[in-house]
Amino acid sequence: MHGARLRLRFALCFGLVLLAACSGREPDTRREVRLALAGEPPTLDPGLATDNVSHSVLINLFEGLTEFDADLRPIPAAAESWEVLDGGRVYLFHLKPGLRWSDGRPLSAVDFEYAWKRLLDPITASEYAYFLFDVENAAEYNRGEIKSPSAVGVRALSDLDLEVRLVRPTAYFPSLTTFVVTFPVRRDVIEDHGKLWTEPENMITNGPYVLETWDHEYRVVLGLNPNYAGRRPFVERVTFYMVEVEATALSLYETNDLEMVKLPPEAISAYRDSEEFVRYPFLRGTYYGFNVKKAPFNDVRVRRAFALAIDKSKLPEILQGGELPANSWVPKGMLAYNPGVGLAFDPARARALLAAAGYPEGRGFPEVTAVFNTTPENLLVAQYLQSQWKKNLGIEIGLDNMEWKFYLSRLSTDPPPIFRLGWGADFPDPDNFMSLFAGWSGVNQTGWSNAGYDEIIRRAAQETATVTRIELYDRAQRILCEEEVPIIPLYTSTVNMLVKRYLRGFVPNAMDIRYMKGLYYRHTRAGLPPLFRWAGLPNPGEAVR
Amino acid sequence: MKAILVRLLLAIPVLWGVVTITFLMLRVTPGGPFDREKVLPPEIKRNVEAQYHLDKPLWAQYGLYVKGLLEGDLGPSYKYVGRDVSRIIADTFPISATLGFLAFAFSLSVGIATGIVSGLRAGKWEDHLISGLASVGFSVPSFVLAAFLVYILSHWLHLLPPALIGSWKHFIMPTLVLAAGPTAYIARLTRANVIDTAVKDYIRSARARGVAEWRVLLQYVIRNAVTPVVSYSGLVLAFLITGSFIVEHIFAVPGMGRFFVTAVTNRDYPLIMGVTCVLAVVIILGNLVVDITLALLDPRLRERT
Amino acid sequence: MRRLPVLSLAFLAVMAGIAVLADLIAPYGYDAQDMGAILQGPSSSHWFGTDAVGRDLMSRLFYGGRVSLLVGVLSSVSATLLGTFYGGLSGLMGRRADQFMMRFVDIFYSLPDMLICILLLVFMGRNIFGVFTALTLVNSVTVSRVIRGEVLKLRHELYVDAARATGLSLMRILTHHVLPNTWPTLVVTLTFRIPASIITESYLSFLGLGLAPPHASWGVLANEGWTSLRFHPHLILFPSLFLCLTVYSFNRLGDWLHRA
Repeated sequence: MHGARLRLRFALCFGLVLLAACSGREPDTRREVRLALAGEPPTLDPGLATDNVSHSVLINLFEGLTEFDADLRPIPAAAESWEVLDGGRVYLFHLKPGLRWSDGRPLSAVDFEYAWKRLLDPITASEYAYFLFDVENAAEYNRGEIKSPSAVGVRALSDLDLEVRLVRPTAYFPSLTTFVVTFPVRRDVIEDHGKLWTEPENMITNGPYVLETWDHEYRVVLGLNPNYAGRRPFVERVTFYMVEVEATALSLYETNDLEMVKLPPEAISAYRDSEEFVRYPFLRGTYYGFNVKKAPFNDVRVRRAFALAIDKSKLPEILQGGELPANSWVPKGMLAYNPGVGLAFDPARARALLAAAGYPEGRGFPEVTAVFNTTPENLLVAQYLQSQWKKNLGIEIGLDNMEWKFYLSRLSTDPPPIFRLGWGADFPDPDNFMSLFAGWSGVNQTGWSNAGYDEIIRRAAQETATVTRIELYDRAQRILCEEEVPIIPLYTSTVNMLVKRYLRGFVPNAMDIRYMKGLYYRHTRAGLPPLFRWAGLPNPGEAVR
Repeated sequence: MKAILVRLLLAIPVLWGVVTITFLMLRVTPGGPFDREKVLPPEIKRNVEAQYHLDKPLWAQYGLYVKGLLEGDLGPSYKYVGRDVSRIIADTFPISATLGFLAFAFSLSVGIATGIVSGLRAGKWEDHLISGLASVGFSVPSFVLAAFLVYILSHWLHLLPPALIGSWKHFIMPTLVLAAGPTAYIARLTRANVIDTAVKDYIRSARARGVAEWRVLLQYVIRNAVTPVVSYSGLVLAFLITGSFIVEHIFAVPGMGRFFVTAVTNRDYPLIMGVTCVLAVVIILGNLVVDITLALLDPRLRERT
Repeated sequence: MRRLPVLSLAFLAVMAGIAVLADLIAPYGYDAQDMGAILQGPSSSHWFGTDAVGRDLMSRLFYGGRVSLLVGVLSSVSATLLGTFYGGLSGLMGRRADQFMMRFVDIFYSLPDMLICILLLVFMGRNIFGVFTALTLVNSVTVSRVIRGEVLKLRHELYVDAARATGLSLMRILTHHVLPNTWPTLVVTLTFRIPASIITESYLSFLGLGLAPPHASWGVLANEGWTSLRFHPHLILFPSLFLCLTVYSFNRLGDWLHRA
């Protein structure tokens, strides 16, 4: 009965869409969205993917316990709800009943347990294994100190219940489970096919889409997952073309070969007033770090002087991409964002501090070189900073740029006096940004560590009351950006996109995660509602909102 | 036959040299495949490096690589997890080769044809036109040429798609851009040779003997003019079919050429080694084919090789 | 014999003049930014317009010409020298040594040019020396093959045999007897190497490996501009015009020398 009605509905829908097509409306009956990827996804194995390209495909193939809403709050996805037990040390996730994999097999909590333990297994050699180091015994197992995976604090209590025991209370844990590495994978598929399990003929997924085709180096095509239990997406086919050159992608967009495209900086001025132009903040911060272990930047007054001597209001003009200048480190769009924190432009105070440090008007200042990796954007910023420090401090620093990998190896072996780096959020919680500069962080290249700062960060991560968390992060940011200044935050990035007018339902978020399941074409909505009402059908456009 | 075998044997030390020098050059270059902005915790980096034997001493890694190579195993890619280099090459090489052969056919036919015309009409307007065009083909960087072509043919005239593959139309612009340089060069080479041979004694005597003009052209002039083009074409073919980074990059063509650059910036050692080996083999084979063709064209050479 | 390519020579002379006198005739510095004039088209104050950070394109083209020509000429000259000696010696020495030296060249010949350039530039940094070294190395491989071919032809000429019989050193035979006779080939090779180097330099810039800004070469400028064709056409038109006309002129000159 149910099936028959569904079929009738599909038939009707189909007919209506055909009608729409005959009426000459643009676009046609196609329910396909085509996008550009910046390159070949290095892998479609959720446990091994480390980059945005892979993630932007995977996010549509799989569904984790939670997902983000437009404001980046974790909301239920595969999990129906979760309980926080033992003062925040234990999370008990309850899966939605009736969820299925694309081959029809029911989704079980065991699949999550397997995926997480696989991620942590040293044999898997996953680069993102540390993502779950908040889980009890996870780090020890990954390091090989514990051999048995059963000691790791994740366990399927039943088909629908997943228990996670943590090392310490962790307020942001449901945010972590939105991330690709925590997505479930199928043990039998991986064991049967080995490395080739991510090829279309083998891959089994649990998200709204399945992998239909993967023409390596050329395109990835996603089709509808017939067994997806959530709302059926309007878009039935998603094609990602691998286009490395942004200008090429833009050409393809204009010849109507793509529906969405990232806008390269040189073209922004031409499209700024277009209705297709979309701009939104992106949780990625860029900063200049000091090597605080060596003179002259072992003197906090010098670091503060350098930070105070930059007029960041000119940065958007230079970068042209709508970047937001920042004095504080936690980016806009994230909890605890506070533009009031940080050292604002104050050349007089900068000169005074510099004089107090023994370099009046920059006299006697040793020769230092700022180093960055070679990109046009980095270069513009570096040149600007160079001119600012010269103008406001009387210090002429040298500039040196290096190829990316060379630069990274230099940073970890012998950090230059001043260097450029950035950080993009893995999950939208201030902890992800703030613990970067904690004493235990491996990513902190400044050599700076501060017991007080570490303590605040640790407490903030465990704190469950949002107000208190914000207060703690404010204090930590004051230490980082005002008192100790191992880094100068410069700006946070934005995303500039063009989206065809007929494509609706694109809800951008600051993680730039693009869920395709919410997209639909305008023509259905604009032209058809009366007919749909007459047929007693939900408007597919409204339905997916 | 024996000559061919000898040539193949001589190629072995060259190949070995290519492998060794590439291996060493890559390893002395600073920066490793797993250096990331999000620095990996040491224990995780250890796990990853152990998986690819990067924790072993350099000579051991070299030994492992050469051993794998002898068994026909090019190793796993570091960047494209779970894909073997040989698979990646198998996926991408045919596309580069298709594009390369198209460009090669274009440059050979158009280059020789225009070269002959301008050689025979030296000093006339046809010659000026062709030589002028050839010089343009020679002096425009291919990315600039590509930008202008896309602008005119895709954005302005809406004739051709600006990128991707999928139909024969997609291949036109990449082929033109790829072929521009070689076509210009071949045209110039042919022209010079046509002019040179046209004044040779045996041509004059052939004409004097009353041999038909078209036979003179076909049998003597063109045949002699084409020989140097053939010896040049081996290398061109080798480079064309192993792909061009610039053309593949701009037109989003999924070929092999891009790896010569991207694999280096990613420090994907096995992938670089793999594509370099393929290029070396193709160059060696290309030169061999050229020598054989030359021998067929010119019986005098046959005895020497 | 064909007419001297007067126009090409004149153009090259003008370009050389611009390169030498860039400091005097450029209206602005190559790195002088004017935030008030970003991405402007040609105007009376900026004849060729300005770039994304308000730098005067004409000034950058003048200074860039200096770099492009310098790198092009110097790397070609040194590649020709290097290639001549290597190829010449290889040709003159016995069969064994020749075989060995040529296998070595073969190895470099079989390596992709771009691989050599990229690795060298990662090492040496994106400065003029890095670009110069990379271009020299890549070019000299080709030159040494050409010269060896020439030398092999000359090797059995009477005067070389005579020189050998008198016990002259290989170096002396090369410089006093062989090179004077390969001189025409050398000049032609050199003239064709220069435009090739200028083009190769632009490819290095395309790969993001050319000179690091604010320094500019024509290749750097063409690369900064090629994606802007539809939005700010002056950014690509002027650099490619300078680049192409120069390369064209060098090729014309080479053709003429070749025929003369």
